[in-house]
Amino acid sequence: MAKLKKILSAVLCAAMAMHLTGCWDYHEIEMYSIVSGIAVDKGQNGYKYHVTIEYLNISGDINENQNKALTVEADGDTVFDAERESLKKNDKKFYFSNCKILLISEDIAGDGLKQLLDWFMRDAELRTTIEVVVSKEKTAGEILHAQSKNQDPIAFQIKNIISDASYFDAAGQSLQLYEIVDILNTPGEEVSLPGIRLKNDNGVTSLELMPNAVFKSGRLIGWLSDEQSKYYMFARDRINGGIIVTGMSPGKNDIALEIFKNRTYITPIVEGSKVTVRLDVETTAGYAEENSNQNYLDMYGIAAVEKRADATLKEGITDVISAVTKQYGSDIFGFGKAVYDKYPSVWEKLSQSGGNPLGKMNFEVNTNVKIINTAVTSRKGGD
Amino acid sequence: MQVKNSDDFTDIKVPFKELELNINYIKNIFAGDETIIARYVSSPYNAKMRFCLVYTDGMVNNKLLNDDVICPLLKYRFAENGEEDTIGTIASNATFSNSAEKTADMEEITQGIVYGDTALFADGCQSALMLNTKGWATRGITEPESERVLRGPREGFTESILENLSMLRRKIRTPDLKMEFMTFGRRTKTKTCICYIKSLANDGILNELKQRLKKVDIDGVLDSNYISEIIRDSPYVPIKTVGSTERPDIVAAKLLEGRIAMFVDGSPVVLTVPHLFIEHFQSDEDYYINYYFASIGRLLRIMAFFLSISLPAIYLSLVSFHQEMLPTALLISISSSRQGVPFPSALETLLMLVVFETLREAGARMPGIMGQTLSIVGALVIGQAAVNAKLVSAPIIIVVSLMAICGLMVVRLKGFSIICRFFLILASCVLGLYGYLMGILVILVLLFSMTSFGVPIMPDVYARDFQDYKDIYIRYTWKGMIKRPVFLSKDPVRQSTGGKKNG
Repeated sequence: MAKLKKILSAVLCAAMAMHLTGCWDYHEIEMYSIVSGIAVDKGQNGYKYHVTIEYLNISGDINENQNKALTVEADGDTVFDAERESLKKNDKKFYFSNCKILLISEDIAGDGLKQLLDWFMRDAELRTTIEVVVSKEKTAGEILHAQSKNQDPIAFQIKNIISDASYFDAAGQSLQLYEIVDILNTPGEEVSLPGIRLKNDNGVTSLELMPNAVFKSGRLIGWLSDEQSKYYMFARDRINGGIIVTGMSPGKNDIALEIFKNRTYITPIVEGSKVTVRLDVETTAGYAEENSNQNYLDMYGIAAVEKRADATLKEGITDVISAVTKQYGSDIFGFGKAVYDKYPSVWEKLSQSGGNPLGKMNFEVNTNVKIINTAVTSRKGGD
Repeated sequence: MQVKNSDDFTDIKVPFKELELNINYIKNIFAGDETIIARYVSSPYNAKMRFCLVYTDGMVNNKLLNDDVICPLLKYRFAENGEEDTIGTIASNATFSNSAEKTADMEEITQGIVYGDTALFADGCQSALMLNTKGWATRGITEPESERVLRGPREGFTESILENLSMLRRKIRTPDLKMEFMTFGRRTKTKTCICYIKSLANDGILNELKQRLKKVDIDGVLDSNYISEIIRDSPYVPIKTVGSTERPDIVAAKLLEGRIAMFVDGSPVVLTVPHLFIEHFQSDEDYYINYYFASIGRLLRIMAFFLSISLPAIYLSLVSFHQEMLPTALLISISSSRQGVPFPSALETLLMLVVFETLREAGARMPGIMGQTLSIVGALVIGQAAVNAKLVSAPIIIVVSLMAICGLMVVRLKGFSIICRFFLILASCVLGLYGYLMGILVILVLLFSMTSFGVPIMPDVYARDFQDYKDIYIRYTWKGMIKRPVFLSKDPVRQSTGGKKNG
């Protein structure tokens, strides 16, 4: 009897342990529609949201192009409601683990990100590494509907454009869901998301990555220009690669430097009631293109080119900081957070006294570009 | 005299002095067996001296019998008045045979006759002379089919125990090599021989082996497995705890590590104890080639075993429980190849495994000339047609093929891996990767709890330092393997430079 009790309790323990392991269920892979991307717009007919889901049309034929995508749309009072509503129009349940993109329209973004992102963060299937992009078209859905020159699903194309851009284009930004939610919950920091639009060249539709959108308290309030986006990324220390275009005299942009490595150190300095944020931009670059008949390196030397690049960078960064401060008053750079991390009490005063905390700070930008190679194998022709 | 209706003649002596009565007695024992020949001979110089040779036709070397036994017997001049001890005289003066033993024990006589010896009876003697005239056809020494090597000796054991022992003796020429004979099988009377090197073998293991052998009571021993199944530890667990090989070099190497070998007459498979789990992954070639390559090979074999039991279970867990662990491109390709397949993944996996095991078993059992049919039908029907007809999906074919190739790398663990594989698949069917991990845990606990003749079969249980690991997962250079594996031998030092410092 005692032995039976022992065995029974062991079996019971094992059985209970199995239920503590979270989600597990046997389901066949082909019974799902694999979702590649979701677009959220303002709802019609009194509903709050209009959701467009792009999913892969998987045919069993191995020889056919498998990656063709289809879309389905539905309205709902919440995003999840709309998603479930859309199941009425599809023969298989949606599977969200491979969803790469969340596209939001400008008006939805204007209403605020916090309520929108809740389901995406909460749902078990969706990944928190999903990219969030703002549509510059009238609706976000029409981007997913587009018949692009490439047959791949639009969401995968956007994902690829963004991840490439974040490495090869200084202005390109990849901001994933968990990072956005982090920023939304951090005082002294605001979100800035990349935009996307459709481009029609001679009847061929393609996608185009747009400069970053500016949010304040999670609501979209405006857009940066291309140039501003780029220097914003320097100020935010998010540069992974890209080009610095400069010239030996102001206004003459004929030298391209390829960024190998960039690090921006943000240091808040408090002296009395004066708050100064110092940015030290350390850039390692290569002399990549000299769009000129002259040989600048011989004429001026590398140090002079570096100096010009320093000046260009400093000007650009200073410009974008003052423009954002004046125009939007939104701390998309996270300077407030830097102050808060080091001087919490100072930040308390800054943020509580009302108005725009950015406007009460002073900025000091130091740039240091180092050119480590010139990539020339022979002398320039004609010299 | 009543002949016992049995094959047991223990303690029965030669019953008569008269030749004819004795021969009749023998013929009665072997009544119904027409291969028993009784050949009467009488000395041309002394008609009183009459003899009879009893032997089994086909088991004796005729030339040996004629030249070395009958010829000197007929030429010898016996004393006029008859000899006092006829059998003794023949043994010492009238035979050329290298082995002539006088005996009155009927057990010995009947055993000798059926094992190719010749029994010589003389008139007036209540005993017989057993002459070694053994001679029958045996297979030549060839390389064992199941244990081929690229580099290394090419000889393998045959079915003759004495030949096998001579092969071992040629490799280890020391008086320290002991060979103890025993007989098993109440009816087959199979000769077996325990071999060990006295100064190396662990006495505890040797005694344990002898203890267990004493308890063997079986009427027939046709292969060494009859004995190994009876004497092994954990008899109901599908992991071998008694090693077996057909190669003399492997047996010699194991004896030198302190293990004990057991030869069984009629079987080319020699048993070695104790047998550790890692020995399934060791090959004799590991020691004949460069140790880097040997170590890579051994690690590959361990990995292959792991894959061969795990692949289908992991695949099943991923496609039916944890799709989120598959990269998007792979998910799409698996999903598209599963479109329209009628069976659930679990059933599909089990079906393909059964098909594979069937193919393997068919390949092992069928006559060689039908091999081509099997490979064509197997490759075309299972591989192509089944996928095209949407009976199974393509990925499962790939998984099962990969598993099969991995499994063939460690053929010695074939039975164990089949059981593990199905066990893990069932666990994965129910609980996904979680079930798989629990299954692996069960297997590991089983392995780590097992012993072979008192030695844990996983050396990790007692291995202390790098020296203990030098011949487990990798094969270290010979120069560095200064000690024998622990526990196996009472003399741990293999190379004199590696002894422990005194004091």
